[in-house]
Amino acid sequence: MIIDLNEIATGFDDPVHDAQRAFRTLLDATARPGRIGRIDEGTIDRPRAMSASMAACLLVLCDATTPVWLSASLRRDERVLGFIRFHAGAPVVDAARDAAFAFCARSDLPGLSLADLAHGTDEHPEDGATLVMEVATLDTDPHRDDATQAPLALRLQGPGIEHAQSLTVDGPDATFWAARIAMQPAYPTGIDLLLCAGGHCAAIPRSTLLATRSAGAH
Amino acid sequence: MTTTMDRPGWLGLLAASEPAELVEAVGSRIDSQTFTVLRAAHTGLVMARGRIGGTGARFNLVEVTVSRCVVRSALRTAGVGYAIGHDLAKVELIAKLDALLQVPQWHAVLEQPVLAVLRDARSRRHAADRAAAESSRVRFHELVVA
Repeated sequence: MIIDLNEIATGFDDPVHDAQRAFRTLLDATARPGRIGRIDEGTIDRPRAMSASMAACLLVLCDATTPVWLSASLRRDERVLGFIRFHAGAPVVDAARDAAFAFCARSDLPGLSLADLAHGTDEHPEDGATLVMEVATLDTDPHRDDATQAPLALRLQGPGIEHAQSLTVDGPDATFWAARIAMQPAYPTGIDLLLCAGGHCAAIPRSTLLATRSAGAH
Repeated sequence: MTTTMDRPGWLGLLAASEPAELVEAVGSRIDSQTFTVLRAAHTGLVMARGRIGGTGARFNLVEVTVSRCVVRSALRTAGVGYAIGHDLAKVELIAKLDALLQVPQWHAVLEQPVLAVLRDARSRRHAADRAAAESSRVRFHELVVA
């Protein structure tokens, strides 16, 4: 593949400091599951198909040693492929199971299956993949979704959360979250989730115990 | 009339040029141009590999310090600069020149004062190296055993 450097997005404005700031944001988000971190959208020039926080995840977390899987619409996008190859140097793999990081666009969420990704093994739980996905909205306010059922309210507990953390996600459907909850007994194997919505991001690491709100309330 | 060089040709010529020669040849000719840095100049290591006699099995010879830089000109052409060593200013200048040299008008502007001058300098350097090596050459076929 030849990268079209004449059109390529330039990535972080200040590659060292912006990347450090973004890394810190992701670190804090992962340490405090369900809390929302902010990536400054103005500091990162990126392909149109990627939000600022998804592009930041890519630039900060991926390099030549981390195979990347892309959902169908990202995989088709020459600018996304060029951006990854030029800025991260990460190999793009066709089989989701081979990926250390998987990126899923919002339009591809319905076909997304956690079972396709690497979960790691008891001997090597670190081989479990990290899934970075674009969602429509993220919200920590548990009362915001009373009117509609579309955004799903989640209740998070576990390491990094004192009592419980609410997170309302307008993204994957209930089937996806049921699959995520079903993986919990298999910890330490599993998949770490990074949710991106524009300049906002939140993490649900595999150590977090998740309940959909209806299940958690009763 | 000089022949138009291909891109690998001018990249090789610029990379092999002496930094002082390069800066002097370019002068203030490209100062009017603005560039976006796609990949800031930085230095890394590249494994150079060799084959004994040019035909043997490949082996790792040595790690070479290489600097590189990628910029994009205001004319939307991207230029790359790669050179052995850790002269970051040099690779940035090479990248800028490469971006402009892909534009025919700029190629015409830079061909004589920069590329031709550097080609001459390289020829002179090679000639001097050859002359220095020639003085110590041993011509085995002239040693006649009686």
